[in-house]
Amino acid sequence: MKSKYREVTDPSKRLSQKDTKRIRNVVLSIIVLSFSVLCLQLFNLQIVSGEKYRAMSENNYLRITPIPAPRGDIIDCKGNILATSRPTFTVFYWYLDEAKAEETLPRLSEILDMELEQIEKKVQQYAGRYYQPIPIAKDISPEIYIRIAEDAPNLPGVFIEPQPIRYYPQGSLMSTTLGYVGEISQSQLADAQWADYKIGDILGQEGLEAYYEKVLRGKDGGYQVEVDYRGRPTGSDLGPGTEPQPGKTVQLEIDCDLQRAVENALLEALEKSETAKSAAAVVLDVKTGGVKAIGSVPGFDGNMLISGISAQELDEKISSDEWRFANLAITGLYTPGSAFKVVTAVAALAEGKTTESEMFFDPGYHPMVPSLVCHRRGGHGYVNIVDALAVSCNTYFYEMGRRLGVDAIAKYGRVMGLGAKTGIDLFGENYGTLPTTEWKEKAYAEGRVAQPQFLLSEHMMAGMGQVFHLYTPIQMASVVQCIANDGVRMKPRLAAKILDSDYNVIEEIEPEISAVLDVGPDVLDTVREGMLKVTSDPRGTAYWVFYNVPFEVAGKTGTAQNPLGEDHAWFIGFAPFDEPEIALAVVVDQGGSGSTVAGPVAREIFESYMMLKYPPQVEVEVEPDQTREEH
Amino acid sequence: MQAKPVGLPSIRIDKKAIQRIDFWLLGAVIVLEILSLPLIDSATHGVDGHYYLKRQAVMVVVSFVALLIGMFVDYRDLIRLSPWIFAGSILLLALLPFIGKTVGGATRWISLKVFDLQPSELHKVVTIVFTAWLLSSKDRYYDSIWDIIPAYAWTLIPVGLILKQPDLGTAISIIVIVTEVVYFSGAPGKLILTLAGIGLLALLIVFGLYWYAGMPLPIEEHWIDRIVSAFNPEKDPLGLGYQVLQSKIAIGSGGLWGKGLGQGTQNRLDFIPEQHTDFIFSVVGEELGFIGTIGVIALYALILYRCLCIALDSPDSEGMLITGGILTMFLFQVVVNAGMTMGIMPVTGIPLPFLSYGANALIVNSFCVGLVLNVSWKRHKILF
Repeated sequence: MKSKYREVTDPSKRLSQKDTKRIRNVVLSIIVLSFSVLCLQLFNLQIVSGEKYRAMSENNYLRITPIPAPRGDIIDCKGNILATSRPTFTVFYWYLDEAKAEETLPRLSEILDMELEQIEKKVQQYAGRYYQPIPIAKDISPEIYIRIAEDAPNLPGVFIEPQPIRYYPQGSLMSTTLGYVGEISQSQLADAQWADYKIGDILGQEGLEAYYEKVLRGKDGGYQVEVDYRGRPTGSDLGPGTEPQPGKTVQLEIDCDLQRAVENALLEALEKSETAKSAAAVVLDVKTGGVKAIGSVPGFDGNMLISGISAQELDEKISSDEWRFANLAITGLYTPGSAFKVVTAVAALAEGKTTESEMFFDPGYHPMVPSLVCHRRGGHGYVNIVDALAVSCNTYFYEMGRRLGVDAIAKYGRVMGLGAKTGIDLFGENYGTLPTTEWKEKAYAEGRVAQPQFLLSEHMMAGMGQVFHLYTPIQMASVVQCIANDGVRMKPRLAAKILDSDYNVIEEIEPEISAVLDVGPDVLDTVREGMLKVTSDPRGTAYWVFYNVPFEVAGKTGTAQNPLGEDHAWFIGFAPFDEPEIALAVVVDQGGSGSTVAGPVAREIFESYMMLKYPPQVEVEVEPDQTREEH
Repeated sequence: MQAKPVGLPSIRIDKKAIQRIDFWLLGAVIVLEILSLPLIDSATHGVDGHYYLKRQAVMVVVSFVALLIGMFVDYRDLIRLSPWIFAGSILLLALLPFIGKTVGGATRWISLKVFDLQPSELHKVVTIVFTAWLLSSKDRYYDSIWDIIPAYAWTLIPVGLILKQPDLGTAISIIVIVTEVVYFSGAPGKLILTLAGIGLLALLIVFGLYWYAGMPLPIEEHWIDRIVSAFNPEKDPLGLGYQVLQSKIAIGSGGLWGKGLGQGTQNRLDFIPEQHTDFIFSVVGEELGFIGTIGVIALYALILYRCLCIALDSPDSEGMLITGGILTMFLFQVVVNAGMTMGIMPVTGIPLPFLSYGANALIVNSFCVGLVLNVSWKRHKILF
């Protein structure tokens, strides 16, 4: 069969061999070149950058939804809970699309009784991160929970998840020491030490919550969620994820009941006083330095703070002195006044500037600087060091100040814990001021005092705790603890043990010696005797406060002149006298007289301690239960 | 010389000829078309009871019919009738704005109930045949640029109509096809380069006037953004560059061995728009990996190489021009499509031959393969 087109195929119309070869080469090179480019790019994407793109693809579809770990508890020595985590429910919103949001959000705002704008603002903050659930309302009431659950079909994207929230079962008790938690701030996020925190994470902001942040914080768990291109979970099962690890519990030396007694006593003192606005007290275990109670009133309500308080309300509470955030026990600086005399006494005896047998005549003023008068007009007559402490004779201690000089006093003061951080496990402790001649020169250079030299009168006044001295209550408590513990000063510490979430002991925090006061045994005996006489000698400044307590208390009152207002009322002391167990320092800011204001507070604390430690053995007749008897 | 027979193209079947079919070419096409089935099913996640898979399967069958028609119709009849076909195709393109269906701002389709006809896709093969007619009836010697200008001049009408749809990719591919047909007809490269230079100059003048004198462009502005974004997807990951970036992530994350059919997360979770049509190559890359993708590219290379051999061995200039045009069409589509999914070509709506979901391209491409086999078969025939 012949093709009808055979003739049409005219060889003259066909290309020459040369042309064919040329076309072949050109077209072939175009094919080879362009396919080489394709293969090269494929190699580049899949082999050279394969890992990068694999990571990017995982980043595309894998989301980690965290399961928050409950924060560790803070408990007292008896196991009473001071801070814990309370399960709450948080309303989350998962942004699906604009149309759904327009329907859902107004409905949600109605149920939650929240401004729509406020909700929209929260949603907008997550723009570009819509794979993350957006917390809309925290700690919702059961009514809202039910309403949302019932209305679920009309609320696409809305869901409720349990979220632990910080809770302080004892209310405002010990609030200034416990501190509080809050969402990590922008500046904290930038801090390298919080590198593993992310926006919205809870961080201990103050007090023990801040100091033991790394212990208390648990490790969030999480599960992976597969999402599609719009960030919506596909529901694919990607395994169980990781369980959250709850934070560790911190057990304190604090005794909750004593703490409550301390705070009540302080609050009572504030109530009685017209001028006092704040007060603080520290109770230390004499042997270990453990903090049995630490009070700074007024405090605040951590629960209110965490569940959300408006800035206006907060302002009101602070300006009306109802709330105070400062922990005065470690940050408050007060002139110690006569309470300081115990330090001068130790120094004078240890330096051999006086003995117990030396009788010194007090005419009511110091003969060398007659303007320095004693608080008793006619003077105390002949006093030795024990009597001088008991009656708080100013003239005697002016004389000791003169004999010792401020530097010799400071030498002992430093060992007893003054003018330096005591090392208590809290942030923000103040140094205070332990004056020395060197200190004054420096202060002069900085323009804080009028002359560089320490004047004679200043040396003398330094002996009885006026001028330049500024100490925190915890430092003064350390002084007493040191004296009561035969010169061994312990580092004050709040935490005794670290426990796991089931309260099994993981770590015991051993007591630490901060310093040892190297003086003869007689020195401290003599000073302690003087302190005992303060409460037991009818001439003692606090005799009338303590004369009828059933145990022996050693103490020292202080009524410190405050250039800014009323006198600060001090009481420092320890009890029982023979086998000292606790040492305390009480200060009532602008409370007035040490013996009338601080003394009763101290008495109440001592009594509470004794009552708790040695409960009265009284038989209580329990009325039989009526309902049970019927059976 | 016999008078040219008049009438419809005759279909003649020669049993011996079947053995002379270029099985390398046919085999490569069959492998690709069969591979398209699981790929499209994977890209559409088997939704609606494997709707897309079923449709594609039907289309593969139809495309084989088209291939057979292309094989057994005498291509010289087609060329003879090409002015009429060309006129008809232009009529269809011209009618499109009135009877066409608009999807995504482009009027490219005529709804025919069972499927949507895409005249511009058809016009590619029409261009090949018509240009072959235009050039094969001419003298073989090219003295000046005026000898090849008519081929372009005729084509400007459909290109203008296609640009109006708008469909930049197809318009460019038609110009490229014409150029290659002109080259296969023996025109010296110099002449073509000169013409390309003139074209480029004209483009520069048009854009120059647009930027400096504010003259309106004959194309729409978003194409410029498209072209820019195709080369730099990371710059605007959520806007224009999104598709290309997601496609690059898909291909890159496939690695050496791929994630396995149906296992690609980029594909499965719909990160890549148009993953079953224009971006099917990203599914290939993600799920079959470097090894599989190189395999697919090799199949295309094989097709192109066979086309080139057949074109150069063609018994007549018509066969050579047709095969050359078809070769160019495939080359252009593969390079531009694969290139765009890998971010080295601008995003234009050009499907990947034999793999992308879509009836028009698949049927037209298969018909073209049929024509090429037709030419190769004639070539063998005259050897006897």
